[in-house]
Amino acid sequence: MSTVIYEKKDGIGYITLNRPEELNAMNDEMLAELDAVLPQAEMDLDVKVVVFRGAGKDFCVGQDLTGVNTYEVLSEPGEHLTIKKRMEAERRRNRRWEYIFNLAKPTIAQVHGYCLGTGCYLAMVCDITIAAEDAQFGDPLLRMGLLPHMPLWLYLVGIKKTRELLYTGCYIDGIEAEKIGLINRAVPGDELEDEVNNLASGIALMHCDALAPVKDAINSVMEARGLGAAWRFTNNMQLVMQQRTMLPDEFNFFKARDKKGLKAAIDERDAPFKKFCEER
Amino acid sequence: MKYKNVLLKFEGKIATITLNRPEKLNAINDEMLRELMKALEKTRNHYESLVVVIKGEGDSFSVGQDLSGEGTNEIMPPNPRNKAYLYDMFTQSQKNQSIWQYIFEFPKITVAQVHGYCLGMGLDLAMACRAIICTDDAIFGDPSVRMGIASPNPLWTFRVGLKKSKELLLTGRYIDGKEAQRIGLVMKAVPAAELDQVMAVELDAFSRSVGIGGWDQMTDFWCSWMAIMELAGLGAARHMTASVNVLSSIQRPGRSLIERGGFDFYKTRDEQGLKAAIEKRDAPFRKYFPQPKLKKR
Repeated sequence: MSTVIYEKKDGIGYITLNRPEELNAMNDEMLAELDAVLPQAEMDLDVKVVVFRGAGKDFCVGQDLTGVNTYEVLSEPGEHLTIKKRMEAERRRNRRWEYIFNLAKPTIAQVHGYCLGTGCYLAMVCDITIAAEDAQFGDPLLRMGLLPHMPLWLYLVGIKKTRELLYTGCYIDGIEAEKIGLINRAVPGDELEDEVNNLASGIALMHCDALAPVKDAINSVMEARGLGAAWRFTNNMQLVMQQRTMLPDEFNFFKARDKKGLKAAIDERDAPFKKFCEER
Repeated sequence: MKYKNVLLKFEGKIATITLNRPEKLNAINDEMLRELMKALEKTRNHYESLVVVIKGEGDSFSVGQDLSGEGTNEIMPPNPRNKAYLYDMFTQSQKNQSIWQYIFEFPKITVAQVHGYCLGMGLDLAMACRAIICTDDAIFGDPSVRMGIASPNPLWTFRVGLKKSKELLLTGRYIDGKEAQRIGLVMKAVPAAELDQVMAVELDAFSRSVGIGGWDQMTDFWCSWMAIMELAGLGAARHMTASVNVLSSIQRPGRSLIERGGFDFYKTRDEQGLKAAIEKRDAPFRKYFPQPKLKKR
């Protein structure tokens, strides 16, 4: 079965992440299929606007942390890779986000359930994000000793909120996400699909030669605001972070996973923070 | 000097500039913009004035650029059907940027008092002011995308953030004063009956707040703010949006919006009149983006 489904209907392109039993965790296969489908959606003249969504209960839980078929998604700290190899992989990851951000047509993320880590990054690089009120947003990378590496955090929610969310790794729901500017709107879960389709249908009335420059004008302002350099900075810091030596008594997510399994490792990762993060 | 399209009044520490083409909903044409600039220049040199209010006569603040095609050679991109030279388009776009920059960097406290429609260039004008205070049923929006034009206004993402900027500019959706307050576009949205009173209080506060450290200190703050905005990329953003604005205005055979079956605003206007063209432009979208309505007075 395909991990990414691409469909078209009435001028709208739908890209559905399709690993529902793994909460749409991103693995190498999914990224390869995304890479194949994105240029297709960009060039498709019948498609005015692209909707990203997730099959099953969640939008996307983030990178697949199993360590199986995840070379492209995540360089694990323990892996012995040359600097060049790591840099190549990092640059590829970065190019993917920049490419979606600059896709020459509008993009909408339709978010429900978990929207974490790289899943959250995907929703952030889309032009417009509409989410269910009870969707969960968060970037817990730091809890695993990895660097959260999406510069758009700062532009969307500001310095203070970015620090709070990234230092703690706490999750927020759709309503809170709307309040701080991470998304455009949170709606009740059963209205989400209608809301997105309505928005996309309205945009689809527009001509592609009108939409492309309007999007580009806004993106060029972001470029002027330093986003171009920010992609590179965070990317480089991410590379540096992968080279660090773990302290002997530090929680090592990857060791815990290999010893006790993925679920236990995630529980162990999140447990100490539970009392600091408001339960939602 | 005698103004035709704006009114200028000095009263204590407050200067009031009123856009005065009420029969055209204060649509901005070349002459109005020239007079607005002259009135601002006069206010700049009027030392008693610390606060400048910009508002609209009649039913609206401003419905945006005058789209009639008459007396608008300077503010509108050259009509694409006349096959304008790129040089003309770039210099026109740059010149307009310098006007908005002048207003944005105006060294006195500028406040836009908005009621009724505040669209397109009218919104560009209001956004260039330091604060907007409006009625809760005022209507804000930039429908440029519906005519195939990318807004040259670089302030959007600074004012309402990236996600909201894209939502509003890619749909051309109109929002009311309440929503404008919620997303941070305006400082305050109040019931129409209270607007004058709220304005009086706020303007008094603005003109007094500069008294604490003195006007010289306020000017010092203003210099720092402008430097911060330039460092945050506003200067480069101005040039980039100007370029993309030109790009969107170029219409070449077989390569662009109108020639590929997009809505031809200019042709519709010339054949059926301005009102019909605006109606044709907006009608298809109402189903998806319900338009807020002005309250009856």
